[in-house]
Amino acid sequence: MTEGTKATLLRNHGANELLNAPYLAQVPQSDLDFATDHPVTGLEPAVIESTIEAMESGQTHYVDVPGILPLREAVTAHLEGEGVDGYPASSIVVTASLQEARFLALQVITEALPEVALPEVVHPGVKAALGIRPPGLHYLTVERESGMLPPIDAIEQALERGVKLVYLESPARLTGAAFEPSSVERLAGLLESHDAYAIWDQGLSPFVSGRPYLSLGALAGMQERVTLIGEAFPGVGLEGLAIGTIATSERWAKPITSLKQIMSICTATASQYAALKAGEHFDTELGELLASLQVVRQESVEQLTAAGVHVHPGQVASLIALTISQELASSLRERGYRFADGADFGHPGVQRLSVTPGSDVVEMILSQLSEARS
Amino acid sequence: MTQEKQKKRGTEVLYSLIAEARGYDDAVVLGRGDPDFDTPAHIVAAAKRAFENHANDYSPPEGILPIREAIAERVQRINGVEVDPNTDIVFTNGGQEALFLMVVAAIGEGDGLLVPEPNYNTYKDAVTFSRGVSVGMPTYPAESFRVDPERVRATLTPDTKALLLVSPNNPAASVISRDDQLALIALAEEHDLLILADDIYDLLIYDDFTHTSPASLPGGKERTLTLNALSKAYAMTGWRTGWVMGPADLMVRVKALKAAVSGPASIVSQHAALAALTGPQEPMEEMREAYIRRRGIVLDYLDQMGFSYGNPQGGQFVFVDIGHTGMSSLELSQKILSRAHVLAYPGGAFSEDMDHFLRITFLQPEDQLRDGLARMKQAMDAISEENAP
Repeated sequence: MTEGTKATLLRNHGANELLNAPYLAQVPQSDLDFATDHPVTGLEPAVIESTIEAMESGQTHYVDVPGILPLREAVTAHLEGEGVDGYPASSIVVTASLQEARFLALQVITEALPEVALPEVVHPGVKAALGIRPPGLHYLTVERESGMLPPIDAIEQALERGVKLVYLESPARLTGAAFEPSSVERLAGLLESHDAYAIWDQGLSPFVSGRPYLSLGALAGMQERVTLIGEAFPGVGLEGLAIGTIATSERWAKPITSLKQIMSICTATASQYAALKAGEHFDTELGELLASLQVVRQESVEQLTAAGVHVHPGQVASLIALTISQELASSLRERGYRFADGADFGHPGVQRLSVTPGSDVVEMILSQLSEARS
Repeated sequence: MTQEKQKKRGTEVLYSLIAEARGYDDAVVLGRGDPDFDTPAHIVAAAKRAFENHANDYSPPEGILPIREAIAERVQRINGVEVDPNTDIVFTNGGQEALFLMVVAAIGEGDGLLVPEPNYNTYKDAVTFSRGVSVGMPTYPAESFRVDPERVRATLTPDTKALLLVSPNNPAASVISRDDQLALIALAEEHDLLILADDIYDLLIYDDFTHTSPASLPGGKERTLTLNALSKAYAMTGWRTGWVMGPADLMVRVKALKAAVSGPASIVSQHAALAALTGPQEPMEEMREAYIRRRGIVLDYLDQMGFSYGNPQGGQFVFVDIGHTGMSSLELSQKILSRAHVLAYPGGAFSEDMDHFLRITFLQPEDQLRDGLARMKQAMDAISEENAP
C-alpha cells in the first residue's frame, strides 16, 4: 500500500497525544503492583453463588441497554444513602467500566457543549476519552496545597470565559484530595449562575475518611446539571468485572443510553448480577476494609513524613501520593514495585501508591531512602 | 430531515417496537438477534471457575493472552487467516464494540465508508459518531442482495476511505462469494481503501454456500480489519465477547481506542469466551442444526403466506419482500404486532430503500416459531381480505 489512507490514519493517530495517554489498570499485575487507586479484594462467595445462579437460570442474554433495573435501583439507593437524591433508576446507566462511564459522559455532553474545562492534573483516562473527537479544552491550574485540586476561582474564570462544562474529580485520582464542602457549595452556585454543567468523578468517595464528603450532586438543583460517574461499588472485588455507573439528568440519560447501545449494546450480564449482589453488603464490607485502610495509611504517612518524604494532602484512605526522587522511584521499579506515575496525570515527580494492608511497600521505600542517604 | 436524524430513527424504531412487544404476555419476537438458547453449560461452568479463581486477574486493554491465542487459532482454522495473538487481536465487549472500534479506527471527520444497503443500522450510527459519511452500496433482492463490485465502483467518491463487507449480510442474509471478495479487494487496492469485514455469522452458512474472509485472500490482509463475536454462534449475547483483528500497524490504533473507550472486557467474560473457543463444540453444532430446521419452518410459512424473499444463504434471519401489500414496513410490522402479537422488524429501519421488507429471525424454539408464524399468517390473511378490492 502506498502512502495514503493507512499512512495518513497512522500519522494522525501518532500525533494524537490525548488518545495516546497512558493506560492505567484497575487491577494489580502482581503482589508488588501498587499502582491502583484502591486495593482489590476477593469477591465474597455469596456474590459468586448468586451470580452463577442467575447464569444457570438463563440470564445469559442481552439485557436493557442502561442496565438491569434492580442494579440501577441499587445504585440510586446507594446514592441516596450518601445523601445524593434526585437520580432515579431511569437516570442511571450501567457501563462496562469506569472508563466507559468517562467516555460516554464526556462524548455525549461535549457533543452539545463543545468546550470543557478540566484540571491540568487529571486521570490519563480522561484525556484518552477526549482524544476521540476532541472538544475545546481549557486546562485549570491546580494547587499543590489542596492536593492538586483546581481552585474554585480558576473554575469561575473558565465559566466567565463562556465554558459551559467542567470535568472534576473529587476525590482527585492522583492524590485522593476532595473538595471542601464550602468549595462544593460555591461551585454549585457558579454552575447555577453561569448555566453550566459538570461531570463529577466521585468513584473514590467511599474511601474518604476523617472528614465529611460532599458530592456536587447532593446539592439542591444540581441533579439537572451534574453527571456523576464512578466504579460500581469499589473495593469489594468487582474491579476485574469492569463495571461502572453514570447517574445523570433526564437531558443526558437518553443520548448516553443511545451511544451506549451503539458502542456495546449493554454491559456484561454476569458483571451486573455480581454488582447487584455485592451492592447488598457494600456498606458493611467496605466499612471493615476502610477501618483497616485508615490505620495503615495513617501509620504510613507518619513514617514517610518522619523520614522527610513529602506526602501530598488527600482524604482518601486507599492511596498515598508522595514526592520521591526519580532515582528512588527507579530503584523501586527495578525491584519490581509498580506505582502510578504522576507524570501520567500531568504532574511529574509524584508517585501514587495504593494502601494495601499487610504489604511492606512503605518499609521498602524507607529502607531504600535510608540506603540512598547513607 | 437531516441524514443524522434518519440514521438515529432506525435504531429508535426498533427499540420502540421491542418496548411495545413487551406489553403483550404472549408476544413472539421474530425480530431481535438474540438466540433463544441459553449459553451452553460448560461455558457457564468455566465462568464459575473464573469467578472463583480469576475474578481479579489483571488484563491489558486488548484482553489476556490465552483468549487472544484461542482467537488466533480459531481464525486460522475457520477463516484461514494467520494472525499474531501478541499484536493483531483486541478482545472487545461483544461484536458491537468491535464494530464501533473498527469504524472509529478507520473513519475520521468527512471520510466516506461504503456500506451495503440494507445494513445493520448501527454501522451508520458509528460513522455518524466519527463524523464521517456513509455511502450506500445498492444490492437487489432479485440478485439475492449480491454486492456487485462494479456497482460498488460506481459509488466511490474522492472521500471514500473504506469499504464495509458484511458476509453473511444482516439483514439480507446474503453471502459474498470468493470471486466477488477478490474483485472487491482489487478495487480496494486500486483506490487505496481499507476494508472493514464483519464475519459475525461466518459459522452460520446454509446450503452449498461458503464463507470467505477478505483477510484470507491475496492483498486483503494488510488492509482489512475484521470483527467477529461469540454472541450468535455460541448463544453468548449477554457476555459481551467479541474481537477485532487486523494488521499490527492498524491494531495499534484499535488497541489505543479500546483503552480510551472502555479498557479491558470483564475477566470473567474473557474466561467464558476461552471456554467457548477451546471447549466442546457439540452444543454449537446442535444449535446450528436447530437453525437449519427453523429456517425451513420459516420459509414454509412464508411460502404459505405468499411472500417472496431472497434466498437466505447465512445468518439467523430471512429478509421478506412485502411489496405486494402496498404497506410500508413499519405499518405492516405494527399491524402484525398489534393483531398477532408477533414482532417482525421493519426493513425501513435497516435502509430507506428497504421499506418493502420485513426481517424475520429464527431464534425461537420451534413450537413458538410455529405459533408465531401461524398467528402472523392469520393476521396476514385478514389484512389481505381487508385490502382486497
